Amino acid sequence: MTSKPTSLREVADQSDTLAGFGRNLRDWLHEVRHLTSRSQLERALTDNPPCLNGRFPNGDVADAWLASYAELLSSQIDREPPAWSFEPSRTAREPWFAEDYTSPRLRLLALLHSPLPFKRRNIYALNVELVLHLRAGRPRKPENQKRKTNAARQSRFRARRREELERLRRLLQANSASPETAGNEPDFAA
Amino acid sequence: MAPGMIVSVPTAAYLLAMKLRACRAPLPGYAGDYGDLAFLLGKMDVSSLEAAEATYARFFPNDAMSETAVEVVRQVLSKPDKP
Repeated sequence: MTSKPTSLREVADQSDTLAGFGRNLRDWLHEVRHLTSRSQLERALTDNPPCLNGRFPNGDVADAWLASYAELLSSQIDREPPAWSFEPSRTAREPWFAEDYTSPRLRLLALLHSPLPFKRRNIYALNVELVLHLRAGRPRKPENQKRKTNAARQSRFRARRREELERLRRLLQANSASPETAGNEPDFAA
Repeated sequence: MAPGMIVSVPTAAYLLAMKLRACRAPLPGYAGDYGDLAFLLGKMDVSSLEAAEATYARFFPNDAMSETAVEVVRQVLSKPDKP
């Protein structure tokens, strides 16, 4: 089982069909909604994805979608879009409309409201904008990473306590061995 | 199912309202919310745009449906073979 893609490059790497590409892109968009820092998002966009044109039918459409999102999201976080997103091969050969949106009014809406990064690559799609929840400060860590960090911290704490206890025991043994202090040792068990 | 586990299931009306609100974009090879909307409108026997808007208003009384959602509903209802 492959894990969910975390970057546009991984979306391309894991796609062998246009339908598979759609699923991977949807998974990636789902992951992106949880990102909280600009640097995390930038990392997800900068790596040049391999061209899908030629790997499966309508691969040029997939290439155009990847480049469109790279440009759209870069502008949302005030970063320069990656250079690869402007390569001429990253444009759909034919205008792309959603298959199910057959009514002329839906197509008109797509022509009107598709964001510029999509329009310039021949993609006419509605509701493609993402609401990002960016915030200042360090990137939010996933729960499993937090649990690992806490476990490591507790383990270090217990090791330090063991070491302290060992030192106390040695001190106690040294004291009890000394004839001057014999019988005066404190009762640690109490 | 584990003992004590509670599974809550939303009503079809609530699902429809949420789908109308999100109206997620179709991607290549993925129909977005279009297929679910078509299914729910058929399942609930919604036969007019006004009825869909009324369902939406029950859960989101302060918002109007988006232009895209309105057009998607119109398209689904205009198809003779709607589910």
